[in-house]
Amino acid sequence: MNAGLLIITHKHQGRMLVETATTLLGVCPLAVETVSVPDECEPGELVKAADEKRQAVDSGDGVLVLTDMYGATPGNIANALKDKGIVSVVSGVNLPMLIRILNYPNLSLRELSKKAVSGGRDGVMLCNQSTPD
Amino acid sequence: MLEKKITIINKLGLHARAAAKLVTCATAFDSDIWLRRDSKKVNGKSILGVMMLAAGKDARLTLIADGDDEDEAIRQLTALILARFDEEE
Repeated sequence: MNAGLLIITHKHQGRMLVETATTLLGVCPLAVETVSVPDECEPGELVKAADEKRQAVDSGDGVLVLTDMYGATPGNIANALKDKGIVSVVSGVNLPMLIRILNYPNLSLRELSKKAVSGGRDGVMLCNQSTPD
Repeated sequence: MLEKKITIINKLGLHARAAAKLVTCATAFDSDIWLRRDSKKVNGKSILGVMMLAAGKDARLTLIADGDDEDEAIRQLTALILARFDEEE
């Protein structure tokens, strides 16, 4: 069994990231669900909807929850899921993070969480040869 | 260990989809596979690694394979690059 994946973001960023990564890799080896958080929302209702999706992707090994920004509403919804099951939450989701996760579908939730953080960080770099003054 | 120099010839270079194809090809082999561009050497079985080369059209790379099937690995990776990753241009 593999961990499940739930991505909670402002608007449809999560769905777009999943679509892009799946196109690149040709497959999506993990069970994935996304939650899009609109500008105006009722967080309590979204926590409930997110938890239903969490359960849908949990095959018993837990769920890795990715969110875009710690402290924002999607991040708060993600954190509200921590007590509802075997859940690991990682913020700052980006395409490199998602691709790295999907490259290691057989890892435990704990190891997969570490891969998520390293993949996300490795994708952030100053691309100039030298730093502008 | 085998090494082979090769030039990226497709218009978009070693972009994400091309990198994914290259990695899919590389992971089919038991040999360790690396790609080198100038002083940067990356794991040929890692998409994020290959992306780090930022290799556009005309970039010169060195394919490196080390293992029992290194000959076939170099042959197939070379064919994929020369076929422009099945892209039109």
